[in-house]
Amino acid sequence: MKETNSMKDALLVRKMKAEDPIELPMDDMFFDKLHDKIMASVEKTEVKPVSKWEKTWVFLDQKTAWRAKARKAVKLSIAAVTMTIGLSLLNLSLNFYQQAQYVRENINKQSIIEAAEKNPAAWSELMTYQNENDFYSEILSQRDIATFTEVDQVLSQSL
Amino acid sequence: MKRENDQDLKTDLELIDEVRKGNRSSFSELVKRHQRGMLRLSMRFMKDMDLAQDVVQDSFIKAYEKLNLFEGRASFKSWLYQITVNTARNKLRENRYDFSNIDDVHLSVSATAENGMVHAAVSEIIQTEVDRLPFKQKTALVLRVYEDMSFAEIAEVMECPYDTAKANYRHALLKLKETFEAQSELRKWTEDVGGFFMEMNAKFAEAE
Repeated sequence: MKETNSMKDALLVRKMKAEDPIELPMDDMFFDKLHDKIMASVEKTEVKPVSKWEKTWVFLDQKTAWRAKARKAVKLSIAAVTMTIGLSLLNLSLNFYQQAQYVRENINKQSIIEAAEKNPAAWSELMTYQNENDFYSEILSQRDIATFTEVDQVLSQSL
Repeated sequence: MKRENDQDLKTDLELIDEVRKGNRSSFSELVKRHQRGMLRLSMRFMKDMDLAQDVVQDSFIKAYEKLNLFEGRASFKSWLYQITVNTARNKLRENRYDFSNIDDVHLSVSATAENGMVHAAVSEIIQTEVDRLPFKQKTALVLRVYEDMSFAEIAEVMECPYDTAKANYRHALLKLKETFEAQSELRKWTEDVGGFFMEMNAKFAEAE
């Protein structure tokens, strides 16, 4: 397959060379004329002195391999730093979310306990038995506040 | 005459040194040596002899002005070609020439009486597809195929790393190959369909 491809490449290159559309004038007169035209322009021009800046620029410009490597290194570093920052932010936001969730749950529990202590019977009637807080309501419906507090403590410790 | 022969024997670097010392006539020898190659290269981009000559003239003027910036790390030819390619590109941008415009291209078709049409078509397809390539790919292809330059030299002309020059050439070749394969499939299909209609016509003629 590779051989076929390289054969195709060689054929294509040969074909391109054979079908070269560029035709230059062959006579020396033409090129003498062009040469004279160029030299007439050059006569009006001076070789410019080189400033230090230009020299430095050219030096850096010629280090194409260095430039390519440096560019690659910079790109990789930027990618690594971006990924690290991204992952850190993700981790931070996850922690923040978990803490906020924990606090919210505690506040909810507290408000349930408070509401239940005030009017346990009404609370139990209002509640639907669809989430974990229903468990507390169930206990409250039995007006057994002591048991509820005990269970809450045990659950809190186990968590 | 003797002086001319002396100039002939000198290397590019020796002539450049003389120009730097103020000998303008040494630059004349450099122009004589490189103007053909530069004109050929310029023609590949400009497609017009007058414009190509302007590019060559501007390139030589730039080269003369900035001769002190040439440090001799690359060959003088590569440096001149680099200036020519950049000048041609700037000229094309200025004139907003369409890279794919080949209406004015003078095509040299070595066609025989029998397959003249096919040859002309192939040459035209090649030229159209080469002109459609992105500038960098076209430059790499032109320098490699028509100027027989090594990838190291192409990298110098294009001011890019060796691998980039090679990749540009490979991409260009791949695109051309794909186009040719598609074209040959199309031709085959056309021939098949053409054959079918010919057969149908013959049958109608027989029936009549």
